[in-house]
Amino acid sequence: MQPRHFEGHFNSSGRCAAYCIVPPYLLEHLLNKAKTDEHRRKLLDSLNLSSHVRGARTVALARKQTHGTAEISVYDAQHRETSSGARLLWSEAKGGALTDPDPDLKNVVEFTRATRDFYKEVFKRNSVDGKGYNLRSYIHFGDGWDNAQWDGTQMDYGDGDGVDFNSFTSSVDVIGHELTHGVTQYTSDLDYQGQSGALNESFSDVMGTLIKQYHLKQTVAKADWLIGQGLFKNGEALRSMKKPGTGYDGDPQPADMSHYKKTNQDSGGVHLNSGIPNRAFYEACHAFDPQKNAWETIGPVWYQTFIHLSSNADFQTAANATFTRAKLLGAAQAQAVQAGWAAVKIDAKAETSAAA
Amino acid sequence: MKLTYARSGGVTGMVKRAVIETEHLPTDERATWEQLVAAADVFALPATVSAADPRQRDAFTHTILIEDGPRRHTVEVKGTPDAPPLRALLDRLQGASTRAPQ
Repeated sequence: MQPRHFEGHFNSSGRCAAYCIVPPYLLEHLLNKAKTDEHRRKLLDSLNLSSHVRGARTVALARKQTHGTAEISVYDAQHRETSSGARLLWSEAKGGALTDPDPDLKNVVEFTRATRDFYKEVFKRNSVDGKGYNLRSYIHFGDGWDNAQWDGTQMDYGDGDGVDFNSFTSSVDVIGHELTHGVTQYTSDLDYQGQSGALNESFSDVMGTLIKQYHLKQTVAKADWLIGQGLFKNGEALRSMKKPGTGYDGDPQPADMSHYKKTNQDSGGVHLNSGIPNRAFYEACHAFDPQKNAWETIGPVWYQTFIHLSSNADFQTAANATFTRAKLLGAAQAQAVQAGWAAVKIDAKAETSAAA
Repeated sequence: MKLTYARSGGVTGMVKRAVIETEHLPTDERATWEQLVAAADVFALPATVSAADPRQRDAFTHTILIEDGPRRHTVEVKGTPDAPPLRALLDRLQGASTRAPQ
């Protein structure tokens, strides 16, 4: 098949149509033939790799999406654990200045903006659904509530109990983490159980930490690779991606597959075992070049792979898929991604054309 | 009556637990727990109460094991339930719980 047949599968926006599932060997061929960087970028952005991709599903989801303007609004839940009866504090649509002195309001507006900007500028993604989904946040959610959540349509942030935790609006990476659950919902929709659930959690941590690094303009070496730094009153962070299990005193996260934890709690330990792919990502970024920006090196490999994973993907599947995508970018990227997974005792293998 | 409670999930991923044995409590406290359990009708609850939108992420999961004489029942509550009596019981259990090793 000649490349021009493939080009015919792109629609006017350059996106790949549902039936456009291209085996990696053919994609390599097309990439080698691509004459401009723009063409290469379009191929990489648009083509869906191998058996993980179910184009029809993406299209079906896209049809259900409502078009918004990616506008931010923040409501006060008034210490109730529900959004009904909440009061609108600020909205971009009204165009008003942020005069309210509430630090939670300031944090949520700044960090939600940072997340939206990151997705737009780095991955050309328009909000969580890629269609300008409007971003509603509820602050002062619950009474001393120790949590932040994506509820399927919006974000909820608790004030923390004031004893162990500060407000859950304190960390840009936690806000990026929650909004990335929205991205996952509209893309791979990774099942929230066991390994696929831990991948869902890990993707939120990976993007959350990249959003922080992009916001602060930090290289791999300069970044702290912590999730929720500043949230604890008497501890460092919720999680460490660099050294899982060292976020705080008693942090139970495993750092490699030989310490994988089987449990019935927390949907099969989704916040526990996420430490394994988290560290694989950190190690891959470090192996590639610690002096570079992760959102420009290995970050795009992770993003493009994870949004196309099948909903029941396990760690091995994610390892193979990231490695296969990295190979398309170059030997150095492939080597770094393989080293990342090897550090957590997962042997990443290239997907074969038979799997496509 | 004995209540064994665990809260897991949430963005922190930390587990909190509480064990309440009402017979060891002062009379007024014991009465409070008994009223909360009766109002929430815990023994009549299904094994799983899904209060959360299935798309919800980082929600809490609450597990209550209740034992009273020969009766024994386990309930798992996902998210925040609408029913005020069950909410009141969960609030009290969360208040009594402490962080547990995982």
